[in-house]
Amino acid sequence: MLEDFLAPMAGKLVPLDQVPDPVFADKIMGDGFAIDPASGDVISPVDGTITSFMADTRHAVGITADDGTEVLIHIGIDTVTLGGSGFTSLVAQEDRVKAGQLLLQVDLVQIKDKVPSLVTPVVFTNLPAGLQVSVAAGREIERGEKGFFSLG
Amino acid sequence: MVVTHPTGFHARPAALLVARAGKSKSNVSIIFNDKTVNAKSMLNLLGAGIRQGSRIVLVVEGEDEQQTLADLTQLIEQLPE
Repeated sequence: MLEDFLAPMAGKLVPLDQVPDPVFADKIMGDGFAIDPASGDVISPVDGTITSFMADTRHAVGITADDGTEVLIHIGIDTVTLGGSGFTSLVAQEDRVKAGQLLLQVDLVQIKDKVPSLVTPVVFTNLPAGLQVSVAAGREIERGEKGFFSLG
Repeated sequence: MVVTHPTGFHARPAALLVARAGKSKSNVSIIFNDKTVNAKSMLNLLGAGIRQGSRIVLVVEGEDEQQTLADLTQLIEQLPE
């Protein structure tokens, strides 16, 4: 599954431990990477099911891939406080989604000054113990790009 | 039991709970709003939308159920800010 994983947003890669929120930086939820987004369109990285989506805050979306891998995409930091303002959802909890399908549209300009950071952690919440994710810090990626992180 | 943590089971509390539940040999689930969620799955737990003041039922079934139930009850009651 992870070889075919698509970048959910376009932007600049940020190692997870440099995300300005210890919940993510300390990898308490799992390892992953982050994207400093260049555009607010968010696509599904995998074929799977939406297993974690709050219709009222719309600031994060969790997808369980068909092979069981769980992915959480958390748009920006402390964005739960926005109460959904600036976020348009195109999916709902329990929806089946295809890799590349548009999930969310975020008005980055509108929310930029209201939250500490737009850096978006993408976390694998059930990777086997000991597996680590690495990315090239600062590299620009396109939405839908493959093969931009390594597992080891 | 009633969840007292101010953000409910958002990010950090959910992560702590999943980490402890994952170590258990028992099945661990939480009943909330008539739905049962697997407490070993971060996404299922986050997706349940458990908030401060939510009334939940913790269900543990398996060989180490008593220890797991005691640990998880204590963890939920004493979640750090």
